[in-house]
Amino acid sequence: MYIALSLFLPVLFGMGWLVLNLHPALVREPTATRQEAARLLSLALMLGLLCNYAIVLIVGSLSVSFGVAAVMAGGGLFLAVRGKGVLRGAVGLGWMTWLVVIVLAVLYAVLILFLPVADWDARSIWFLHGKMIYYNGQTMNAAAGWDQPFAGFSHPGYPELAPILTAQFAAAAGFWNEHFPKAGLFALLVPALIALASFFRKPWLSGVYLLVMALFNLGGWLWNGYMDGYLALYSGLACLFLARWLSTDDQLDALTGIAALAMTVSLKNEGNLLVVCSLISISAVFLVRRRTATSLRGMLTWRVALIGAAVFLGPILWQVLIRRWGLPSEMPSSPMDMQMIGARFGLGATGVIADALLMKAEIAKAAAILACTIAAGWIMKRRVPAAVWFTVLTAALYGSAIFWIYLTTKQDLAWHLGTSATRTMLPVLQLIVAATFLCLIDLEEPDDAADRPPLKKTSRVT
Amino acid sequence: MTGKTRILPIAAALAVLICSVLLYPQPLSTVTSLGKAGETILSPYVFRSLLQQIETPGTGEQVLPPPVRSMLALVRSNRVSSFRYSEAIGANEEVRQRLLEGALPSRYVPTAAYLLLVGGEQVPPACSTVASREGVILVHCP
Repeated sequence: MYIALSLFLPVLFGMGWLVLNLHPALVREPTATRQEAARLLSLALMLGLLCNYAIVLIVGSLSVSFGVAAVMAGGGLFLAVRGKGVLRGAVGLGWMTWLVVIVLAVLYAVLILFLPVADWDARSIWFLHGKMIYYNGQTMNAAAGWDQPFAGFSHPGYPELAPILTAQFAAAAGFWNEHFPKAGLFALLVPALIALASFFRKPWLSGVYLLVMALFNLGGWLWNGYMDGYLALYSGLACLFLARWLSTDDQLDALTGIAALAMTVSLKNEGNLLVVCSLISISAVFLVRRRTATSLRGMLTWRVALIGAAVFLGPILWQVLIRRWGLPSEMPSSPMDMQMIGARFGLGATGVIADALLMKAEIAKAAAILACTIAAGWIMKRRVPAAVWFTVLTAALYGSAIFWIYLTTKQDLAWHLGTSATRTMLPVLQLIVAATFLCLIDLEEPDDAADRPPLKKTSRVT
Repeated sequence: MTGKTRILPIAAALAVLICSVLLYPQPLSTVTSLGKAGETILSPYVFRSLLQQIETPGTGEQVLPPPVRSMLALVRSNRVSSFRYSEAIGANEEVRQRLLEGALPSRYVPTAAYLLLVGGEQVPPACSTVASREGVILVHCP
């Protein structure tokens, strides 16, 4: 059990590092800054998680997946040690950053592991699926009972990244209880913590804001076993990295953003919505700033495409398995007819939904803080970076889609809003926080290089 | 940059941070929870007893409703591999879901021979009581 807890990070890193070596130029040079080293570490860990997901879906057996992971991790760690760049970079993260990351990781680990799985969706969906895999001879296949009556209420078509991780930790321990499988949540948290650290920079106020609003504001959602907190965390990170890519043209930012997007898709179906909204927003930025289209062309190499395909392999495979096993896809489909939507309008549903999504889910307050931050920038004659508009547009699109989903829900509207509005809007809140953070670092550092780490070479990979 | 132009952005950033903390109570609550987690680590007796819970199979079920804990105890002590439940149990969504996910690897099967009842429900004819516990009855219907 403790071996599993000690080894999972090196194993995930090794797997991710091996995948990153598909594009040797990304990993060949020593990292230039502590932010760059943190970003590379978190990217490798995210790639490791996504690879592990795909491997389990391919091979089925958890024990076989452990073997494949060990071989991959061995290869990746060998390359990392031989290359030395990332290890030197990791040491160079600085004692302050490491201290913050390690202390937070340990404290969150205590809350995650010591509090048993108690809340509704955590028990009825995510940990039930993990338990089904574990008790199915530690194998991920149709016999786990996805289509059986006992699992009917558990949304069997939901993404399985987190359940697979929980089942793997249980398999490593050799037993199931309501504590240790939650280590799967810890595996999701660590890459995000390191990714957040990649945005810390002097004079630290923006970093403190990011820590307070992007991490602490998620509260119990990060240890209660729901996936909404992690969806929100990775949604915010995806937009932060993609926003920084729009400013710097740095391929590693783009890849880390894509990996974070793949994490959202692997965690909850709403991740698909975020991908669509991000693509629309990026297209809008391209339309306004033609310069970015050039950087996109530079990115479209077969190596980058290969890594991009690797990160989305798990979610794609899961959709294939859903169809093969005849499970419901759980994607929003066949909304209510227009007549009923019209009736809802007449009953004042739009006001009820807006109140729940903007006021009760605390979006309005975050939007007001963002507006004040932008206004402060204008007063100080600062130009609002395009990255901020990208993030705001993504948040607006995502929020509008959630609004539409509630407007067309076939469930009782009051019940649907009451049980889910706060958590379904968490990604929107995180995106607004990300936009505010981007404004803050622009305020802290007024020149054009403000919203990126001080890279020696901003586009070292072309 | 002059001192004034340097101070203004930092003051603005500080104002944003303070407003956020004042408007959103959750971060402070999280810091309190993290602080309690830190206290747990520093208290060897508590830490050791919590570690024991993590290391022990089947722990953590105290969060389940008491009737569900009784049902799970009956299912496990009688090595029931598949079971079904009465209408009264099925009507209580929380009890039903907690039972179904808690009972694994024992599965709910609509045609199973073992049936779970709660107190006050009639044992169906041709069924025999296997065991009972705190108002929950396990019967076998061949």
